[in-house]
Amino acid sequence: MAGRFDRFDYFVWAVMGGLVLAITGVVLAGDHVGARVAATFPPAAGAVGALGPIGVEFAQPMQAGTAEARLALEPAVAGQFAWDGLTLWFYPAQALTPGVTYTARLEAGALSREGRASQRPLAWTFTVRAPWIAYLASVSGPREVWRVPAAGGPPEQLTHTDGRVYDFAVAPDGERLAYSVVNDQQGADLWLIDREGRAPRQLLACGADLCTVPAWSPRGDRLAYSREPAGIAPGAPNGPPRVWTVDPDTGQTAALYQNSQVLGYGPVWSPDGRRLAVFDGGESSIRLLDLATSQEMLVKTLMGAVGAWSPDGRRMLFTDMDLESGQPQVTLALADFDAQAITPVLGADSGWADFSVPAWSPDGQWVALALRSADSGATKQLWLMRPDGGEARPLTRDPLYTFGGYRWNPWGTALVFQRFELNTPFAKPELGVWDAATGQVTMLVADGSTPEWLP
Amino acid sequence: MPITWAGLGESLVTFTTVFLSIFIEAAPFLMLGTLASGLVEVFFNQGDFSRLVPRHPLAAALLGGVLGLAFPVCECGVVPLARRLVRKGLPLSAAIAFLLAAPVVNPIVIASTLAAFGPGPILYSRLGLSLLIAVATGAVFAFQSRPERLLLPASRPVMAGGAPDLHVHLPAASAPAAPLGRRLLRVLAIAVDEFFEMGRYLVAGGLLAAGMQTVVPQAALLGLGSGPVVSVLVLIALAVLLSICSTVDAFIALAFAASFTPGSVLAFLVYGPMVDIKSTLMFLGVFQRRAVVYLIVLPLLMTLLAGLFINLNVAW
Repeated sequence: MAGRFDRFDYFVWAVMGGLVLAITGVVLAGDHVGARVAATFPPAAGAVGALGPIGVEFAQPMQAGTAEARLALEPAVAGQFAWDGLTLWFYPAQALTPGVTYTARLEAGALSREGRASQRPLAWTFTVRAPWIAYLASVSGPREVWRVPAAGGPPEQLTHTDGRVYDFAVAPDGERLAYSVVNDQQGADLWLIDREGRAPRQLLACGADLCTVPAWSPRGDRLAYSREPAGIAPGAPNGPPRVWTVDPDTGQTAALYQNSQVLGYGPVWSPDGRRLAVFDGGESSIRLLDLATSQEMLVKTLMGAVGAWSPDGRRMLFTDMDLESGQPQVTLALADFDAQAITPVLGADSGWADFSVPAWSPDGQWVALALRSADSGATKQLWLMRPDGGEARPLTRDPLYTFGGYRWNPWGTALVFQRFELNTPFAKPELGVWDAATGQVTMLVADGSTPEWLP
Repeated sequence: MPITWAGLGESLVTFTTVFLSIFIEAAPFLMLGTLASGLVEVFFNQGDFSRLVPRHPLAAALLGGVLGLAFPVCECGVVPLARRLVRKGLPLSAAIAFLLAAPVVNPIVIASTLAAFGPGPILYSRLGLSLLIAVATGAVFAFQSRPERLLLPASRPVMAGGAPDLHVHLPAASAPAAPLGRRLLRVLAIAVDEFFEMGRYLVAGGLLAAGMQTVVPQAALLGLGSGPVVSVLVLIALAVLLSICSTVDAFIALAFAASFTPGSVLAFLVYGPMVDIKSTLMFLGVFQRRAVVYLIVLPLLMTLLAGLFINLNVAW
């Protein structure tokens, strides 16, 4: 050092001392910020679909339990929590009620991973959207995805692909739709679009492969789809289908089964997201795969389609063909994944001539299905019955039309369906809604098919 | 954990890689700084700066703080340039403010921070805090009435007893009569001479930083915690340890932004360019050791104060 200390050194030490005191004071004054919330979903005064979810994005990693314990809705709603990075999502167990103003509250005290507590309670209100119905139109011309208010109103076109839409699926939260679009190589790509028809973007470019039948996981974080590889030469038929999954945010995709010999088509997620059902044409079976354990159950069926999951995701109602009786007859059975057992529900002796895959009501108490009775001619009518086949009653009695494409709304209070007039040449499928409270049917669309609720 | 040949070999590879990355990254900027120093030496006369700079210490420090906008150098190049400016008569308060602020308050670093974080609070706070801390430190140094007591002889202004030149014994070419080519030749001679002089400190600092990074892995530091207080200390220590050039450190900081507090990320971006292992070694080639300690500790305490205050009181 150059020489002894002088006044400058004493001054610097004093400044340093002052800074140390200031630092001590700031630390002792404590945390006035704490764990912070960066955003809420929906935003204050926003709207969500009937199935939510409600989300809180934190600005820092949190101790999960402390945040979950402090988040609640008013009126009270039961549900489940899930984390996606810094965001806590609340998934209502039952559909939220349209028209009701909900208040979400996050009490103070939620702890960040470093132990910082949120300082202030947070509350915001939101409403629940009235549902729409998404569908394909037109059947006879170029196909696009449209939507129409479930309560009736003018339809709106969502996609604009020069009529190349093949099929589509609505995300559980109703915020976006996935759809497949036939490309110039005669393959089909997967696209995403929001519920208003804005911001279309290609999710997967599949080239000459056919990527179709998208199916959203219940949390909306994965899409399963069927992929049929291009033929070995131009113009040759596509290869057998296999089921793949894709992350709708990143586009990362992978085959569901590492074994390329396993075929699959028409994936359907269980409502709890734990299992995925696909139809394996090679085995003539429905494969019920537990995604967590890779445990699998094979359910033989000759019908070529996956059945309907029960709301708890443990059972599946499916149709099969009975070839052993006098003439081929469709049967209905229940596959129990936990018990690894199959129970006949409606056999060849049930008196029904034919029926379609049922649709389980959200509360699990009823199933809707299209039935053809021995005396109803060629048409199938909509029926309601218990999952065990009891208390069956018809919802429609119109022998001119055959019914199909039925789906329950999130509350179990209405069914959307498509019907088709069999006796009229060049008839077009129509879309309507059956109201469970009044039993009334309201027709919505004169030329549309494959309706889905858009919550 | 037992020491194995494989482990030693791996450590040697890490050490070499880190050292080379620091040296190769910093050497061009040191060269730019020495070139700028040569230009100042040749094209400015003794006393030019003392006439241009305000007499008030705070105003002088403020001017020094924004001088980086005209001399875009990082923390390696700023040291020889600051020394040259002092020798040319720039007040010590302005030189200190320039030394600490220029690695951040310059167009290149502003652009890289903008690219990494966008036009938001991190960018503005980085600029504002760097300027504030540099000016405040410069103002503190203004209280030394005999600045030469803080400088090594080779760094002192000639009028204050400094050496007439820095090892360069070419004929005085800064006289107005000298032709431009000869003056540029002298700029290069000064730059080369100074590059090798300051380069020793860069090599020593790089070796030390590489050694520290080999012995103390990043993961060990980051694992210490990301709380509002600890995170600031951790990222300041990391900034010193990594000794990254300020032109690219914003992209490194971006990786911490998701898991560390804003105050700690800012501390990383503010303190790292002012003080790190290699620049500390270079300071020792300019200042007395006591002054180097002050140059390390004063900005450290101010950065700590700012980082902690932001973490505990500012929601963004």
